[in-house]
Amino acid sequence: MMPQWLEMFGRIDRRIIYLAIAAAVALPLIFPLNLPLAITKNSQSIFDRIEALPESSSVLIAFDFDPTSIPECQPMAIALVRHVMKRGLPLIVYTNYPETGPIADRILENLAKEYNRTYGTDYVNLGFKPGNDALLLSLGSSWTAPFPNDQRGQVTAGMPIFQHCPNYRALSYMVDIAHGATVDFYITIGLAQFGVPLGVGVTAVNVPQYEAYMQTNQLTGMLGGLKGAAEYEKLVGKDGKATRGMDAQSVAHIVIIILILLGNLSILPKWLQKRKSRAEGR
Amino acid sequence: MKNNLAILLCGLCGLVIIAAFFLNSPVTTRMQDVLTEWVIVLAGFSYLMGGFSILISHSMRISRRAESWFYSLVLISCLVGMASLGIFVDNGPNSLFQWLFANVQNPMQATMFSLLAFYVTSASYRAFRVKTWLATLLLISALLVMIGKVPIGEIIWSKFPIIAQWILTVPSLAAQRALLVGSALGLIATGLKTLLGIERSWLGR
Repeated sequence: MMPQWLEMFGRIDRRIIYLAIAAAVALPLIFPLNLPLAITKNSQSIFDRIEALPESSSVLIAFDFDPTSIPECQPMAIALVRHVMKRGLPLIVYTNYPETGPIADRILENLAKEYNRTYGTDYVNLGFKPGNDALLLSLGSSWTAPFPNDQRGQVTAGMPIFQHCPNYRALSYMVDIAHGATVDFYITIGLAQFGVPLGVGVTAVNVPQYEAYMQTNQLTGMLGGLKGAAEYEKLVGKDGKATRGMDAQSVAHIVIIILILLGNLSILPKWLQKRKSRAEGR
Repeated sequence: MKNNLAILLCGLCGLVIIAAFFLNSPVTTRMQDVLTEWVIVLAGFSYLMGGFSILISHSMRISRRAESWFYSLVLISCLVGMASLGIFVDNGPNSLFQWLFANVQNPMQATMFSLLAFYVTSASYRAFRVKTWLATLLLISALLVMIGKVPIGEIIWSKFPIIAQWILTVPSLAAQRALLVGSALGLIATGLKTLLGIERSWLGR
């Protein structure tokens, strides 16, 4: 006979659950556990791609996320920009979200100072323009026609960075850091029509969807959620917010699993009683 | 007549984009560029229309003193205030506009999304119950993926990440592919129907 007190595990107050998850997230951020992190093939392949690019190969990083996804996407963006700037490859940045131009600007400015890169020559932030897939089609002919001015309001025509890379087709590699469906039109237009190899950084919830394109080799690599960002931080040799966040995510997952198991333990007495009465009825 | 002209224009524009995709000639590419420039301009106007629409609907709520009209007032003040700062004052990297955006808008949006962690935990606790064998299957898969996708999972048992990856790349992906192929076929059918003038809901009927 199972003890009836097990049933109380099914009635845990939601405020206790909220407190438990808050503690599970906050405590590892205050007292890091420094859990070891293995690098997955999907992250390694983006790193290897960028590492293998010849000098002066232009790279595009699209910042297709807004503040809601900053915890997952911003560390990816920082690690990727760091890698491209460290290698000294020309870097073009733009976004399909109106909120993200200034976010990209701050990241680029900080890292450009660190690696002594010049705006307009080594990197540029084109900012936001509406149009999504229509904009991408347009970029196939020119960067400067749809973006006559950049995020800072400077005139883009004549910028040295566009001399070797006048349009999207001339890119050597492209990474879309996305929290939505923008990846789809980089696959259908950027990759299929313009032939530019593509890697992506997506939020954890989107990983199963884009795993299909990894298997068909349409994507050269994929950073998946905070873990993907943490892996890339390890690859570029500079731990950041994602690495610290992985401890919090680990503990939070354990807490959720424990709560789910407790919830199921609570229905055990009822289930056993039902089974017993069914056996007696027979 | 007016409708037929719109359908004809829509079909022609669609054909130009399709031709540019397959032919890759300078003529079709130039035509595609002109069309996409128009789309970008139109998309810009949609933002303007959205702004006006918000302004009008919330102004009406305030004038009617509708329920929670005060929030409409806050919304309009913020909309007009931020737009004025950006357009008439300065929107450069060190401007008040950017400061407000980085220190008010960004944290607010991030906070709203962060609340999901609490709701998802509470919902998982209540919903993931072993009631049928299908629910059990879902529960076991979810637990394995959750534990296999974080570093602590590998410390507990080195096979957890491999099992989690297998769940994601075999059974889960099979279902994902079915969805992808299904939606792609639906998209092609809808596209063709629109280009041929069979689908006319975009005309407002």
